[in-house]
Amino acid sequence: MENNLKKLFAKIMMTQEEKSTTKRYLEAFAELHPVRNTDFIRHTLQRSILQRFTLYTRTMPIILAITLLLGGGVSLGAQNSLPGDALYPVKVNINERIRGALTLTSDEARANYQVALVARRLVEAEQVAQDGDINDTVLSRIEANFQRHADNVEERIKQLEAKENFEAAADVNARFENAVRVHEDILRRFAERQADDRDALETLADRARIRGVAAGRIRLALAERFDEETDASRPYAERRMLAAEDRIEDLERLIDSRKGEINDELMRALTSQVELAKKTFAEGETALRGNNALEAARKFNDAWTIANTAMIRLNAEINLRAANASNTASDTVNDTVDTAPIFLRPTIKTQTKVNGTVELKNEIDAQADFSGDLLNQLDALLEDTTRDIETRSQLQAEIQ
Amino acid sequence: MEHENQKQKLLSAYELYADALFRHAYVRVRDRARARDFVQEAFIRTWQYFIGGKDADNIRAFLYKTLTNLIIDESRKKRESSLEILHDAGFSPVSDERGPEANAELFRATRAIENIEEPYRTAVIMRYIDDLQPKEIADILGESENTVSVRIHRGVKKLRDTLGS
Repeated sequence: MENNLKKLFAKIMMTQEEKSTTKRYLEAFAELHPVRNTDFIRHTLQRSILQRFTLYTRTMPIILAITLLLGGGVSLGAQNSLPGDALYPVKVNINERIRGALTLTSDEARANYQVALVARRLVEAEQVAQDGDINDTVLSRIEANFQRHADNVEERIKQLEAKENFEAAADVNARFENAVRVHEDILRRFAERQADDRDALETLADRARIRGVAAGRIRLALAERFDEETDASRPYAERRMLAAEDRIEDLERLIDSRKGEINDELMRALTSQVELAKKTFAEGETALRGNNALEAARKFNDAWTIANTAMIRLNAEINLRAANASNTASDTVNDTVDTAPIFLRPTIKTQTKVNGTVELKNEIDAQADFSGDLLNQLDALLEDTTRDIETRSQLQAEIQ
Repeated sequence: MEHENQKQKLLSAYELYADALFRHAYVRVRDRARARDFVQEAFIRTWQYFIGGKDADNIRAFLYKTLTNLIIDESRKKRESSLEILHDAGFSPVSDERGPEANAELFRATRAIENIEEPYRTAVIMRYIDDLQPKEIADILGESENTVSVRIHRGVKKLRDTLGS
């Protein structure tokens, strides 16, 4: 019996993919938390990955049931909900998935939608932090959702790479990296201000950092690939030129449309970013004229990143102010909230070359067949609860 | 460098024991994603232990101990809310195509093992699936070797009854 059991159960193992992603995650974790540094780790000890599925999952079955019964009317009201609100799980689990499934067709568009969701989760954390009512449950929920979307993004980047669509992979990866880095920064600034929520915010910032480091590593790997393919480098540089040009224009348009809401200090910071992006762009053009296509592509990518980062910062600022304004309108006690821009920073943080890693999970995609999946889950649920009862009555019989 | 040494220790332990730990967790929680989370968390806790300047002489035993505690902690939490049981039983957003359901015999055996009550179940899993010696199990669980042997015996008896019936 002994041998049979062992042989039988030897079939249970992680896939190579699962094994290597977990390993890379461990490596990154070890690098981020080196052995000699004892202060940094303390607060992360308290809040573990396990909470991902213990806290956020609680409301899921109820929400599913409600949505099925009401046919989706609930979900309209859910779109602006924040973690802690009753409708928040509807927004995250139903609305966003369905939107992802219905509206997006190309792989790249789907991946970029996931990037947007990652950023949205972090903006939510910032909004909750600004309101000052962040707590462990709220934070764990945001964190779980953040991790889920980030897993999705990383998975999609891998898929794009597997399909040899390296440009799309690099583009999605750059957006992802920018978003997590900028928001990590904002979260840390909130953490500095709010002693009560410091640990919670820093934990989330740490999670964002791990993703940023991983994305940085992918960026370098992809850049090397482009370096190797010198034949294709000129057309590539030209495409990056157009992308950078567009992004700088987007930034200028955004600044222009929000002029009234931007204070002098923020405006100065944004103007300097626009100038820096344009200067870098001009360097790219010079390199391209000098037939140094690789250098040009690099410059255009830098210009794109500068403009994109400034856009993310500006959008975050606008979101935070809007949330703050609606709070103070409905709740006059709340008008002591600090409204100064939290993330002003004159220069863009240069992206560091750190060895990082990716943590991936096989989860259903945003566009997974929801109803079929639900039926299967219900079947499994029935089966498992029956077994649960059987086990219990069996135990009871033995006790008697 | 201390950091590099410890990191190497952790990663080689991962290569050696990750599959076995995963198997252990899987048989106990019957959910691939959660089993993976448990394994990952066990290694992270071990690393955090290293960071505190401590060392584990027997890293394999240390990992099993951590994993076992994590699973026990979680199952205690689970009992607090029946909704969580509902979720954990069927509403997990994780697809599980490579589960034991794919293999009828394995499925049956997994269920039979689930029918063994604790502490006998853990003893059986550690002895026959993880292939640990009674002495090692005793170290991990903090029990005497004799107690462990008794538990294994009773667990196997129960398993036979279930599989034979």
